[in-house]
Amino acid sequence: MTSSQAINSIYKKHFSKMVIALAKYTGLRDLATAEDIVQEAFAEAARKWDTQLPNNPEAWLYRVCRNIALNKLRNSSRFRSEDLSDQYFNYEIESLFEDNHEDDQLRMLLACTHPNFSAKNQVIFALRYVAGFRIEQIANILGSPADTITKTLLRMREMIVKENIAFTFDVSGATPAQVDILHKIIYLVFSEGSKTSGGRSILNLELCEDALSLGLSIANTPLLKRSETHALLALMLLNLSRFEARFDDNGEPVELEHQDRSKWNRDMINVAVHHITQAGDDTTTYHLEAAIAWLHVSAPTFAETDWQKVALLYDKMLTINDSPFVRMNRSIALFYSGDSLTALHQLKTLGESAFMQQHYLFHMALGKIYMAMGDTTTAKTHFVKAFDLSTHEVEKRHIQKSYL
Amino acid sequence: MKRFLLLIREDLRRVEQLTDEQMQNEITIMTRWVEELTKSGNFIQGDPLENGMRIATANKVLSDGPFIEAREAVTGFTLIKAETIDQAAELAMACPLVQKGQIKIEVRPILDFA
Repeated sequence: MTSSQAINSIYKKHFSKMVIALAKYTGLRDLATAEDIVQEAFAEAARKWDTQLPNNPEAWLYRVCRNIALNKLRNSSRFRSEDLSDQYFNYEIESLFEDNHEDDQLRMLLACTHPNFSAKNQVIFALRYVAGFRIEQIANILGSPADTITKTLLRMREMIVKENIAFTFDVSGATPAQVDILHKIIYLVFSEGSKTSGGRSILNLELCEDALSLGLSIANTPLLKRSETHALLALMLLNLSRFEARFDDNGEPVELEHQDRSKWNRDMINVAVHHITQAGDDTTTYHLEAAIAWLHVSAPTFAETDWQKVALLYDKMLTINDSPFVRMNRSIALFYSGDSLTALHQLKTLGESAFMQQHYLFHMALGKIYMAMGDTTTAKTHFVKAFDLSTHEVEKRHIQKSYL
Repeated sequence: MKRFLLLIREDLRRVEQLTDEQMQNEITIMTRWVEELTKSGNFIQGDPLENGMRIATANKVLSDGPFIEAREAVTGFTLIKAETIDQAAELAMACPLVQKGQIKIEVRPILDFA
């Protein structure tokens, strides 16, 4: 491992822990200072480790971090002099780095459940300060310019100051709405990781694993755990069990229809089943999505999937959250269950919306349906449209290779 | 959650100069934003608007032309659910066309007696 690889891997593992540890001292109001201190420590590492790594790189970084913090905070007028006796301060900062990180990460996540933050911004915040991704990586994951991510984080930090959001967040004080948002953030982080457009990248896998581990920490915190925590975990595990089969040896995506089902990770599926049992029979969107994922995973072949049940589950989902995208999925399930006429009729109605007309998956669905009905000319028009509308290289290549 | 009407506002002279392809491309960008809003459970409804307008007054219906003196007009709308007006504004700000400075979004809370 080169020193820069070592730094990258330590960064991912320790950046957020260090920032959170410092933020516990400086307060969330000064998240930017905490972040600067940690960045400076990593910059120092990059300079000093050029030729050789220290024996214990993590300890080295924590030490440098602490020293920079000591200098910075000592010079800051915001801290009272009695806080600054070396012995006390050293002890404080060192003990901060020793605390239970899993709880800290949840507390940090709770800090960004403020109702003024949008779900997307919460995801950005979580990726940066809880999962420890670099700005460029977040930009890459979300497909937004790095500058936008930087500005969003800046605005969020300003909001934290303005709204006086504290870090000493007591998990037991979390409101039901905040617990909802916690689940939503984890769900969204996971879906970013399982997007096909990102390909089979390590970054994507890391994202899924981070979401999974945050979900597990909620499940391990009785004050936050709910039935949908298990549904969410089941849903993530069932999707992740197919991760390897979703791409071929060349890294090209393989659609569900053509996946080698023997490659699905049975261990993960078994753990998922355990969570499905724990989740009970509530009907949150996580329960419904987990049930759909389960119907896919338990079917011996694509054709033998219980498509009627899948369509029914989408019907239920529509009663909770009606959207053209859920409607599209329901129509696709209806089509595979054998009701092609209803499916086509529904899709045509959906197509009256300008947004659906400009959505590549909508045209993929229509293309496949027309192809199955033997109308290859119409099918081709839709596949061409889908190709034009797709904005991701991986998707475009796949459409071209398989359908054009 | 409260409901908010997002009014897409943009420079009509810029819109008039767009080719069909550019126009479709912008709708594709908006579609991705709408999909994001759907995933996060905020989207209710929305559509772009065609050009052309009438203003109904007490005595007659006025058609466009001299009445569009303002360069800026509403070219689309989105109905969303959000916790607060600030959250709604954050959602609007995440629209890539807003980020590029091509459109502005006016965020209005819907009067709710619930």
